[in-house]
Amino acid sequence: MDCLLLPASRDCSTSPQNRTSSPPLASPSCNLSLPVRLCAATRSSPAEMDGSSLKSAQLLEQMRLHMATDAGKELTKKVGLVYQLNIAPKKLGVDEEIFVVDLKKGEVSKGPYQGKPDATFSFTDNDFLGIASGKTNPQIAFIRGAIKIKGSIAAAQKFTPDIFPKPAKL
Amino acid sequence: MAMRHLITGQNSCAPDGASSSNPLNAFANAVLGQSSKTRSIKELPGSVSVPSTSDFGTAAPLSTIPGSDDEFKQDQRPLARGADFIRGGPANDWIESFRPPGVPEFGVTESQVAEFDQIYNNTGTTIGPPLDGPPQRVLSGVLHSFLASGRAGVPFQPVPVPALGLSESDKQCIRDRSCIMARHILADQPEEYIQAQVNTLLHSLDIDNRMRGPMHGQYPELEQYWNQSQSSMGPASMHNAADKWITEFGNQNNNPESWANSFEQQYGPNGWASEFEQHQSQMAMGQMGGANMASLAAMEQSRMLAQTLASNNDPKFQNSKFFQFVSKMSRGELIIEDNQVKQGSASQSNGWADEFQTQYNANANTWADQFAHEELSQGADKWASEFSSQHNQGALNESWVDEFSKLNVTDEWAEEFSGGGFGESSADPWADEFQEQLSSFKQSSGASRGVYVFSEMNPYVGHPNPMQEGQELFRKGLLSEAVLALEAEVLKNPDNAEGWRLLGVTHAENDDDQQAIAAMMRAQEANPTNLEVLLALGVSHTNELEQGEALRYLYRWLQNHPKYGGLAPPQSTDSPYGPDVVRLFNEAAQMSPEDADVHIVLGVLYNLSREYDKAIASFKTALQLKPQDYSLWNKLGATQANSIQSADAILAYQKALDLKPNYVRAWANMGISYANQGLYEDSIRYYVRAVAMNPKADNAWQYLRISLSNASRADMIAACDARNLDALQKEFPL
Repeated sequence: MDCLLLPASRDCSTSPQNRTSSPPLASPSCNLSLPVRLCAATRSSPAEMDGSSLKSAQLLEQMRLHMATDAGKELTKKVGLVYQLNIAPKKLGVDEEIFVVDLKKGEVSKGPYQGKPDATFSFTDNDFLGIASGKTNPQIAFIRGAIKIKGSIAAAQKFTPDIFPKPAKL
Repeated sequence: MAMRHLITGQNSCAPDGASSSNPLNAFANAVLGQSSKTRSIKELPGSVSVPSTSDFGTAAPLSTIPGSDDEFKQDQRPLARGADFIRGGPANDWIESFRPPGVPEFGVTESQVAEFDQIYNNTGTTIGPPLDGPPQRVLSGVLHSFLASGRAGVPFQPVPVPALGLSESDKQCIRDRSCIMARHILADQPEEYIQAQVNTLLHSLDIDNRMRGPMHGQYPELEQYWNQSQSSMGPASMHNAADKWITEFGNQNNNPESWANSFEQQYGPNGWASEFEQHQSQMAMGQMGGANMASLAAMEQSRMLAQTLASNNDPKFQNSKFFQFVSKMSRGELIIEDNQVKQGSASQSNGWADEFQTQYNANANTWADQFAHEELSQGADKWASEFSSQHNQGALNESWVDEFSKLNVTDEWAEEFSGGGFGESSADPWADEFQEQLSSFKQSSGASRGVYVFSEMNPYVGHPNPMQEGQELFRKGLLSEAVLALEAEVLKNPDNAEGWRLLGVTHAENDDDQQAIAAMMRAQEANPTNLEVLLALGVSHTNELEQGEALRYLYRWLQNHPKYGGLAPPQSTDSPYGPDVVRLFNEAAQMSPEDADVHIVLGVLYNLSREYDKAIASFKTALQLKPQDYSLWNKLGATQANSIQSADAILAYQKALDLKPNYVRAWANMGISYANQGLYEDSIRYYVRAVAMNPKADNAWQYLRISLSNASRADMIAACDARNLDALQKEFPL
């Protein structure tokens, strides 16, 4: 179920090579904006995902922290793709907030990706959380029309619940 | 396969006639009913076969002897016997099926006919000439005399028969078919009589087995399910309901793909549930046979009222006491006697039904939800997929029977067709997919609802003091049991705020925040200012990442606090601003630094704003004041885990588990910590421990699945999907 259409993500060996050539202008512009973000992040209140009322934003904030851990770094090696998430609070496509989960560089940020992401997903807040927690089968959600996907199918297939950290409960 | 046996009459099928207790028999009747009628008219014994019997391969000869032509029609295709048989089973076809293959159909000699007639006529009386001749002829005679005695209503006298040299399978055939036939023919006779008749026949033919009772064994699971689900009803009503349902089902489109659609079209989203309700109330009425008419009428009235009310979708209303009262009335759970409300007799025996009803009332809007929930919680998945695959095969078999009588086909083909990949490949994946769909519907719609879902089959319903029992169980750490006892309590006393609160706490510790929130909301309804309830709601909403809700409840905590209430501005606000609330709590902490609760709330608030370092500091301060609070240790651990200090988190969780070994939440959090560090093998053990203690911890199940696939343990994913705790615990001991 969670292993989408391809059995494992080991066959990603081909993708890094493909990747290196694809967004030539993206990386510099991304780097330019990075210091600003880091500034915000190092303030006492982590501002990266602030200003969002989405539940997903909280998970993505955890993801952002998670990228710094060994497991997070492992993820960049394993997946090595860039995902853009367009998350709508209630209705698909309405009032979307855009986040980028860059598993190539190991970053999570708000705002559209500067360049061409490997895959772009559109879903609602609840559906994204359902997928990230393993509650919802992404394929079924796709069939139901709860997810819209743009970009490479192979990249989309690696968008599985195991790339997201799980929030612990108080 | 199994369906085929029913049709061909092989093996152990002994359903007892038309009013069968066996749902599958009724199902077969319903499915095959229409074609059987037309056929049996055509083939009534005594009617001369018309040339249209060409479906038997060759035009049947027009015998001059009415009544015997059918019997002498030769049948070279073994399976057609079965087909004939099921078509409504004219007795002659049955006997026909024992005729030897190879006797030519054409050119039946006069003498043979005469001989047969002689046998036939003589068998009506008990004294006949000793039978001899070829074994098949003898057998035919014996069977005729058996039938004749059955028609005449006299005990069947065994006739001396020479050794027939019947093979085991022949014997089995005779035994099974005679059982069935006897039940058909002697449907108006008592069961003992039928058994005696058949036993005598079998005895005279030297077939040892006794007549079998109603069928068992073919579908133990299905039967078990039925028995289980219907156990509260009388046997009569059970047959009734089962047959009716199956008939209805059989009347529908046989294409499994459109089953759900057509069902919904036919009944509307609420149809099944309301029909069920109707059944329930009818049965309840049946059970209260002694009750006076007035209360029955009241029940009927309230049932109608309840139905009208149920169509209102407002969850608040659905949960209202008035509605619960009316629906209890409608089920006979409550009886008005001398203007006093009393518990009705039905409430005990209808436990399951009540639970179902409560659920139904709670969320009347989505039939699919109900269905999914039923399936998920009862583990009836197997039943559903089994049923749908059976059903599919049933449909196949129907067409098979039709096809067969038209096209002269071989045994192998039928075997292949009905047993082959078609049924599996089309039906099972469909069932799986459908179920997945349903469960995802359930989750997406369940998330926002906050309606408490009661367990089915609660043994504590009717317990004299479920509250005390629940507290006791909670103290012992038997959380899932405590949930049941407390549910019984709040069913009994829906106003018991403490009952709801403890139920919510138990759910939280059992790692089910949705139910915790639902229970806490009821507690808050009963007592809007309880601080513990407000804090618990704040925490649970935080866990569900619902920031706004969490903040509101935590703010209300402050407003309702006798000491710090003055700090909050008097005007109430629906969406407090986070930093303001934090500031107010910091003021409160300065007022009384010894109050652990203030520090706890602060810790939760800092979690909301993701200022984890401050949150950790607050919880640590609180722990200095309350070192024995296991939930506080867990909160500290969870905060550390979310701020990627997983190693520290595990120490804190361990502390919590030392204080409360059955703390499911801490076990699950342990698993999360290991999984987030990429230590999937380790995480699996903790998740398994958590789900073993609370098999309803859906989150833990989902995480377990993810860890299994990440740890390359795809071999155990099936066990996880089937929620097979035994296998998992054996494989991953902690």
